[in-house]
Amino acid sequence: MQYGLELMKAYLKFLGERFAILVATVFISVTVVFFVPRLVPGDPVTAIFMRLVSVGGSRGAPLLVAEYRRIFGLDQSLWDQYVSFLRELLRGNLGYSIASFPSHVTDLLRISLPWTLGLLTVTTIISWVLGSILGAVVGWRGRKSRVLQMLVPVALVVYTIPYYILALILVFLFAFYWRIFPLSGAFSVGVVREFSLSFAMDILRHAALPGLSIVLVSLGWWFLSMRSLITTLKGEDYIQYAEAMGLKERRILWGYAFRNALLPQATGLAISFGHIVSGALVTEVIFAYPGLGWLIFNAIKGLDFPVIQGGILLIIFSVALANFVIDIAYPLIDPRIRYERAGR
Amino acid sequence: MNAKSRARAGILLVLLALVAAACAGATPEPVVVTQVVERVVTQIVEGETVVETVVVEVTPQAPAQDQTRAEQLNIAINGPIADPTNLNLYAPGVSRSNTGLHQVIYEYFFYNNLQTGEFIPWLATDYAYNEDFTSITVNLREGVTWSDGEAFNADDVVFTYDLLRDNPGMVWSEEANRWVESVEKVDDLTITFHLTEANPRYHLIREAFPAVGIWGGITILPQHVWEGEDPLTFKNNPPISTGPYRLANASQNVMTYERRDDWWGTEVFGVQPAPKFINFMYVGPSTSVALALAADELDSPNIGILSLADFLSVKDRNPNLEAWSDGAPYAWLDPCPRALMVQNATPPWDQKEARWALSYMIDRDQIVELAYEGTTVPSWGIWPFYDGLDPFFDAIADLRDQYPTNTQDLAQAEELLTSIGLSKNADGAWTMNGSPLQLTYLVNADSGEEMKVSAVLADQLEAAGLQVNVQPLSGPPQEDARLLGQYDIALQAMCPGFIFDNLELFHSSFSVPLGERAPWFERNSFRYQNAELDAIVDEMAQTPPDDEAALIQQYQEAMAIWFEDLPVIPMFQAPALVPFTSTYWEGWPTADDAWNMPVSWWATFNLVINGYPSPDTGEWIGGIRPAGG
Repeated sequence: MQYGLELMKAYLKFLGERFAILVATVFISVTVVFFVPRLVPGDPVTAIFMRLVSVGGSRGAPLLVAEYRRIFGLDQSLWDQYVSFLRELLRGNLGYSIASFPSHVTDLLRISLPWTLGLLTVTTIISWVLGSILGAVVGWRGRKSRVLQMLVPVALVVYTIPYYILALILVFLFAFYWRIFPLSGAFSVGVVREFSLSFAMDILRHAALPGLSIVLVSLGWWFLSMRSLITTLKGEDYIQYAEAMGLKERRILWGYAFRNALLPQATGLAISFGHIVSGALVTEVIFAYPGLGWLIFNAIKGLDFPVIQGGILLIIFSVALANFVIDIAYPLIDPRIRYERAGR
Repeated sequence: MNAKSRARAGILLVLLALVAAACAGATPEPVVVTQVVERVVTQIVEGETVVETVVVEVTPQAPAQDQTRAEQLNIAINGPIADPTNLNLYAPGVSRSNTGLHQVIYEYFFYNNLQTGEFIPWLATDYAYNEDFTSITVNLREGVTWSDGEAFNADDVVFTYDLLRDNPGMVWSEEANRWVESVEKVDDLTITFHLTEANPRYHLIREAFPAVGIWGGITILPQHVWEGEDPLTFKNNPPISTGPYRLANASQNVMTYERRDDWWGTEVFGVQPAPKFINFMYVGPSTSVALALAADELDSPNIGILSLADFLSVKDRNPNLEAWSDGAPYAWLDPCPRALMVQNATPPWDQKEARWALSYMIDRDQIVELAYEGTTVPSWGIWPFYDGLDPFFDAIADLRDQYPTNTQDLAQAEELLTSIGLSKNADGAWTMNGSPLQLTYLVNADSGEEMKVSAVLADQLEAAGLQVNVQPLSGPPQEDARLLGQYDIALQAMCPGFIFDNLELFHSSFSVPLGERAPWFERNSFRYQNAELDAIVDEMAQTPPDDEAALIQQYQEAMAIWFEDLPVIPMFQAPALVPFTSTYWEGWPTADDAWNMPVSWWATFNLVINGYPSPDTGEWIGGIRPAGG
């Protein structure tokens, strides 16, 4: 009983520390993200009119530019802008996008977020599961089977192929030559967008190629890291003891080695999840998939401060959150850490 | 398993479930396109006329589905639409050409057909200036209606200009207010624009008058929809307009328009546009566009997406692909020729000998071959080679011979530079005041064209003895550098391409000190000043555009000065490679049948789709039709 309470107290103290770090991280990052883009030379308002010009649209209008600088508070001092930014942020208002005025930053993020989350969450999980399982099998039995050994250089090659080339090859083969999947987009032109099975199937058909390209490229990483973890673990004492005890090989691999290798793999997965909201820019460009990557990239190029802040804030928050979740989950998963915390 | 491991497993499961739930909740929301509209309804109740304001929810018909390919006109745009719920084209963040708004939704009083020189009446029938050109009266066409049935009339025009006057944040409000003092409704179909000063060219200023010059013009908005709304934040969704199509579906990648059966043009002109659906869609980068064209999923891409090499390889696979001309140079001539701006405010480029020397160092043919793949031609001046401008070009034929702007002559370049006191050092580099002459060459890194030209041009100039610092910049820093004049040379499109307007770019009133922002890139960011040229330009501004004889005379005088000074170096005509497939739709404008401009991102695309009544004969010209039909 005493021991349980001690454990609880240690754990809660640990939780509290970690939460304070989360808040501090987000605050410092938000401040940095506020100031750094504003140090770049260039006027975001002029960038809007550049887009008009690029299609033959505008001869430039100083009064219009001045009006927009006023609307966005860009004529105020940097400190004033920072204070009002923080104030609005606490109210949950991320402001208007400069480049897409009068769209709200939250609206822009909201339309893109589901596509990025949907595509990248699923592909991350798939590539993690597949990569980990394959990596475990190859790491364990690698030397005994030629076929399995061949997977290592294959994984290395696929992992290092430039993503753009791989994606283009997939598009050419599966969307043009064999016409199995659509060329681009998140759903078909003219399809009714409602919660129905046909729409869901349409989305899946369109997500197949982008998803496949991401899975192929990330699979290699999980495969290789799991394989090296298992290979290292094979030499551990408890594994040798289990072998000596005559346990079945399958039981040793999945019940002991894999479970222990899973800990660092899970950390990697959590951090990957955190980065999902930064989107996959090249995927979105090649497959015209509407997501956060393109939104943030364009905002950075056009110095669209509110969208940069909103997008980066989203990334910071989810990465910090992912780290936080892993921090609090780890002691629960790994008893060694829990005992250390309690001073045993 | 003991209790501890079970507990651990349970916590893991809970965590995973939370994550899964969070992800499951993130399903895409369908974009619902409805609008709450206040309608003024007049009813007769018990013999008395009662006028009420009724709040109505306007939902268009169900999103267009089951579109067969033969009913679709598919145009590829060059980027996704950041916010597909915002259809207010007066907000600078809304791309009126990517969304298709000013092509198929909104219409204009007149459309300029640069190709044929016609000024085509559409929503208006004719115009007339008063004697001293301080006001212009426009007659609107009878029978034009908005898509909700309300009549299009003078009230809408007055309302739109009031909006522009009161809201400096609207696109082109500044230019409109610069020229328009007030708009007077004479009657339902007649309006008089009172100008701030005499200007016989006012009707050609697309930023101030609802006529389409290059790309677009001032758009008239329906008063009954926009009244009381903040014109900057109003989303205008769905848009009420006079055009032949209505918005059926909007998403980041595709804007789908469906043909309206109740378009006013069907009754007045007796025609209906051929495509039932028009999709402005973002298909991805040039490779995806090329594949889509080869597979006939697309009819045409916007400018700048397809390179010549891509075009030719698609043409191999899809023989139905056509461009403006059947063989080289394939490209249509964009109205804005390319010139090399030289910073006139910085020595030694403040001397005309130095600028001419630069011009003599350049081998334009080599750049055309290497950077443009042969899709364009060198240009002696800064005007597009349109047939309508031939009278002007012919009038200065002798000047063009006297001043060979397209010739490469390194000996002449050396002579000129030596004459102003420069000398070559032992390494063969030109020096000024003892140190090697360095040029900053500002390049827009986002423009493939500029990057390619800079590679070849920098080499040529270095071979001639100049040290060139190529400075590729992108986004706002690039734009700022260009406006502030922070360059020695920079390639620039000289827009809009009209005789007077391109001369006006050199007026000293637009020249500001280095370090201040010029009005626009080609609008004297190169800081050229010549009082004589100013005087001629001022005179031209007051000459009515149809007095061609007077204008030609003034043009000759101006060009004598311009050629001598050479403030910018003429380089090339602007190639606009715009391919069309004729698998589903035919009748596209081509060099053999140049009835219009082949541009799908200009508001004149409305006329490419529908055709138009000839202002001279009244017969119907053009309009695309189903292939083989």
